[in-house]
Amino acid sequence: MYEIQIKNLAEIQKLFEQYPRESAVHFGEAISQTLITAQRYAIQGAPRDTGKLMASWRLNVGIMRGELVNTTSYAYWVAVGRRPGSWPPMKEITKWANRKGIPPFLVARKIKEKGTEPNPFFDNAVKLAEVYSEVAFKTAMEKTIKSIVK
Amino acid sequence: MIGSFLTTEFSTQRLQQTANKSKPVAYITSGVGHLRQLDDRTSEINSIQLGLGFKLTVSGDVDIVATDKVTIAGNIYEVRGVKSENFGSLDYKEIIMVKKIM
Repeated sequence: MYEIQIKNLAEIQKLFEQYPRESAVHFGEAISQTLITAQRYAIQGAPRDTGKLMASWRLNVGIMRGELVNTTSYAYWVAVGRRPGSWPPMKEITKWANRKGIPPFLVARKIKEKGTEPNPFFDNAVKLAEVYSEVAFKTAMEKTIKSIVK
Repeated sequence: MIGSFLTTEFSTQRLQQTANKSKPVAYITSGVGHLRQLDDRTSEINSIQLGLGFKLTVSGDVDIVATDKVTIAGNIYEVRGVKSENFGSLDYKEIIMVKKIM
């Protein structure tokens, strides 16, 4: 699980406690925009084969909270790679190898011997989204203060 | 039960003549291979009963020849044919086997 660090979190929390309705609207928007940005970067960095990894996302935004989940079972293994030593699941390897025209046994053996390189596509996306979140949350704070002053 | 698309451990026995009989004796080799059911067309061409034909892929250095007996998860298979293949610099063997009904 990755978390986006918000720099002025204490101020946001204080504002939310005092003006929950106004804050929820604008910060909800900031959370949503940040997660959509993270998703966009993750899609750009994800490996392309069938496109399943790039297309399988669940985005939930609630009151002052949000989560972005990749729903494929193998996203974690793509991100962290695989250590050598054990045989990969042959069923999935077979589908991939047949698409590429490589004997599945050779692919599985290579993975067993060498493992797989990690592709930190989600980690990178979160880092980039963190930069974007600073702007989004600052804007949300300004909008909230404006709506309170009105 | 052995299903298709399985990486599985195997061991082999080779026929040896003792007196006037040939018997599968010493275990020759063991290793890991990719076992799957033989497709209908290849089964038909080789006159193998539907469902009893299997294909095993193993490393190129595995010592295995036709008539060897291969044991996988307690099941015995008889080797019908062995074909040496390569993919780039990687050697491997494709083996057609028939499962023995015990």
